[in-house]
Amino acid sequence: MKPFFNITIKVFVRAGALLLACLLLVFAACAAPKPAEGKLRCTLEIECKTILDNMDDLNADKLEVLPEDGVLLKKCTVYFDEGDSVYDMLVRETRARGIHMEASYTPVYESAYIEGIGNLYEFDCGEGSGWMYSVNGEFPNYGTSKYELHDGDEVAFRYTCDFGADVGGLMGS
Amino acid sequence: MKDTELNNRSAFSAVHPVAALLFFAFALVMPMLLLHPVLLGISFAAAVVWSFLLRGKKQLGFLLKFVLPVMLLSALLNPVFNHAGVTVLFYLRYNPVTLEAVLYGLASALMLGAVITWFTCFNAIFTSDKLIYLTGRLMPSLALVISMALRFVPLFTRQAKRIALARRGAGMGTTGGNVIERAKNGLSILSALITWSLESSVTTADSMRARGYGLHPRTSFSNYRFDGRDAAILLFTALGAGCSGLAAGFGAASVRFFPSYKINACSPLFILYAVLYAAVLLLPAALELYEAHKWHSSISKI
Amino acid sequence: MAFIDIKDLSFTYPEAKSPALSHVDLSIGEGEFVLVAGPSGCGKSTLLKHLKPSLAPFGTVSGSVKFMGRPVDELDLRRESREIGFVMQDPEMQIVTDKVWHELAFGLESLGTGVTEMRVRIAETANFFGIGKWMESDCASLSGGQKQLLLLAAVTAMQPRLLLLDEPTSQLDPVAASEFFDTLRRINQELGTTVIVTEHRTEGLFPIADRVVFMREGGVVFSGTPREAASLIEKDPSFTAVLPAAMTVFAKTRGQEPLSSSPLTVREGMQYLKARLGGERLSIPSPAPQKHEKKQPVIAMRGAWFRYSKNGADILKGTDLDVLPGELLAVIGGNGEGKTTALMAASGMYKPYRGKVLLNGKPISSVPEGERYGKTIGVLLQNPLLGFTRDSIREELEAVRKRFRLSEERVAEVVELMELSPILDSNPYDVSGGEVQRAAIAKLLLPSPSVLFLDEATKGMDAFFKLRFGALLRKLTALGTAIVLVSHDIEFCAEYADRVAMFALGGVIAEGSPRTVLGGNSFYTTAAARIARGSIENVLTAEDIVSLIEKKA
Repeated sequence: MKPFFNITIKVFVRAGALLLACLLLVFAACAAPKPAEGKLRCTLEIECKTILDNMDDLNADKLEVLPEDGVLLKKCTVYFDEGDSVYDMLVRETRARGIHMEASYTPVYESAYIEGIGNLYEFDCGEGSGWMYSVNGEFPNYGTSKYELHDGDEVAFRYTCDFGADVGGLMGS
Repeated sequence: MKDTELNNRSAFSAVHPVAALLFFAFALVMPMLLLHPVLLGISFAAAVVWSFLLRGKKQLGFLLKFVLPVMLLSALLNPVFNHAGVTVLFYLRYNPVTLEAVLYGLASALMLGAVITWFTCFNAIFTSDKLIYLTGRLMPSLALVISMALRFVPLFTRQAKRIALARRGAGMGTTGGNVIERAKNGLSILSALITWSLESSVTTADSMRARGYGLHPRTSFSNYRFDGRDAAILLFTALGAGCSGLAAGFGAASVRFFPSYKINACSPLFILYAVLYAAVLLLPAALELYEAHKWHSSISKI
Repeated sequence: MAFIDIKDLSFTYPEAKSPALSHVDLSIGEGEFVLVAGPSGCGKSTLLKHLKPSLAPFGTVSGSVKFMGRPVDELDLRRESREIGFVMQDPEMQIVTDKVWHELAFGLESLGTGVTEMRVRIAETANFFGIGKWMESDCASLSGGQKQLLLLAAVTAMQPRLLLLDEPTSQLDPVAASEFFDTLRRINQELGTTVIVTEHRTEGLFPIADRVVFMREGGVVFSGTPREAASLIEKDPSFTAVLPAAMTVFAKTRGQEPLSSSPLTVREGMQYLKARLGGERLSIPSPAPQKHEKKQPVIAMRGAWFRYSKNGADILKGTDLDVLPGELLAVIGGNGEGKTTALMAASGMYKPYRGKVLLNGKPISSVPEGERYGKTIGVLLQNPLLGFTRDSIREELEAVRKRFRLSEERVAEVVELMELSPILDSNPYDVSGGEVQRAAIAKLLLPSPSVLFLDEATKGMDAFFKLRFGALLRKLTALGTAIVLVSHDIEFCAEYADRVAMFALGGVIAEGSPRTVLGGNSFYTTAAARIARGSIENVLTAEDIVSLIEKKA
């Protein structure tokens, strides 16, 4: 039926327009995170050394983004503000250093989930691969945006190729 | 599914359904398999040219009102949801928008545009007759079911309108009223429609039985002949498909979007393949133009 | 050995009190063209179905039916499908597939015919029927007459030796019906196919039939040549309704002429009448022009223009139409001229884009729908079954009663008026076409509308039933209801209408009493008027001619 078809087109066009408007709003709202004022300090390290031992499993396309020594960010001291979570800090620091990072909000855990850093994503190096984080050597089993930082914390993001076993934080243990 | 889809008489609509089906399978599947921007561009352009030859001005409206918005949407949405890629352009909330994701969005927009446009051509060329012929070759009874369904859908629509009119004339319908009243009226129409179709299907069944329905084996009529031109189209398309397989095997048309953009667009092998790809896809449009030209020149000789 | 031999055939439907067929004896030779006539429910369809085992109804059978010397039910489905073709009433629902070519091929596909042979058969069939140019069309785009012709072609493509047709033209307009009969005659004459057809519309079939069979209450009351059928009128005058007008005139005025010289066609009737009157020219005095009492019309359509789509052709071109209270107005006109559109516009169902329609002096669109339909106007479209959803006519009426909050007495009143009590508990789909029509009108009548619009209400009614139906409409107009009847049925309109409006070229081109409008027409008039042309002026019915001759004698 012709009129029906016309209606579908209209619906599409309107939906498209609405979406565009929403997008513009989002773009406008994406101001960069403020730099930390800097009384509190912690350390941050990002590395994926485990990949070096599992080169056979690595997605061939990702070779070019793999650092030779497996270190994306050498352990360094960074500043943060009162009440900042690990996630807030990570976003700020990767962005400031031009390191790629993608995270998504996971409603089940009410927390951000780190999908990839430096274009190295979960599952890029086998089924059990992905990013984990530790604070002061412990691997918390909840999301980064739920972990509130304390002065002097040592934060490390480590890429695992075996569900955490190879970085000392076996999932579920 | 009607001939009215066609703006002009189409030369390709006279091509044997088997050859036509292979061509459309090639044209519709290739953009989904090879996300190479150059090839997608060729495919989209060829589809647009042919669809204009087939549907004329109508196609312009369709392209502007439907195809382009869909493409735009896809091109915009991809970088919003996909953040992989080494070249960060800017940040959208906490996630990076990357050049690679934008390029991937553009490629998928081209892919969508090509597939949709090829599909409008498919719709205009592949009338129910061809569909029934193809199914009839394999399963004559299924072909009959399709044919009956194609008849019943518009029949039901018409009948529903008549019922609504009859109810209105008897003061039993509603044209206004609130949602509940309208829903009730709709249900009554549906119920009358179902009663009518159940009762009158007895007549259809009798009419089928009276003409020997149920005897085995059933055959399927068609008036299609496979001629030299059909063979040429079939072979050419098959050649295109075969070469695509080879090209993929040799990586001649390889393209990679993540984490960094890498494309093979200059190798002689690729250029050779792209030319062949374009030649196959432009075949129907060329056929339309050639026949139109031949017709004109034969007219002017008279 | 006769081609078909029916011996002492009796049949009773399950749970029926009386048999549908009782002791039918009939033998039909190969190549014969047989017309089976009789009122609805006389058993003619049942008889026809017994000649086609795959359609034979369930019930108790006795006696025998032999086809080419062997009991017909011994035929296997393959031979039966090929040799015995069957065409039913409703063209819409008999069509199975979506395209014309596929419908033509359907039977051959069932028989498993090879593609090459099918091509030949379909091509020659299409050629014989002159339907080659529709081959690629959708079946839905054909008119009713074209659909029925297509079905006839689809059956003929299987090369049957026997064609059975059950009221094949009951849903068609007169022009399409006569085209159908012509084709039937050609099949019989040029292919030698035996044809047995049941039909109410006997006028067109009498001249081509070799034999006429009349049935009543399950039995054969007459079987003989068409000319001999004139004797039926002498036995029972009610047969006047089913015989061609020329025969009626002949049977009632023949004097000493032998039955075998009975005229069948209009031409023969004219010759007979001229001879009977000895060249004398007579005239029925034209009725005095009716004094128009200045009654306010219930419906007044003024200069209405209407078309279905923006770029479509205008169907109504400044149409004027008045409907006076308590009159039976017949709107007649050619096929596809837009009579139905005029009805829809006059009833307010379609809105003209120019001009106006007044209901009791007020613009019809100013009357809210809830007030307009039901209580003031009732519209009955073609195929009245469409409006029925419930299991019995009683429930249908009850639904209307509740909707308009009417009393039970009003229902009883209408049931009595429309003579519905015997079928009140029947399913609308099980009763005859005429009975459905009556039930549908009863539904419209319940809320006492002042004007009824009926589209092709006499379609599919047999001649005997039409007499009753005409009387019913008269009763309604006498009670003050105005009725607008759109119809192809000129004989019916001539007999019962108070006023006739002839619709053509987008407007009413003539209106007045039936005698003034139809009496002078040469094509668009009754058969009796055509027979009397050149001998008697102002004739409308066969009865007019008969009474004039009787008066003279």
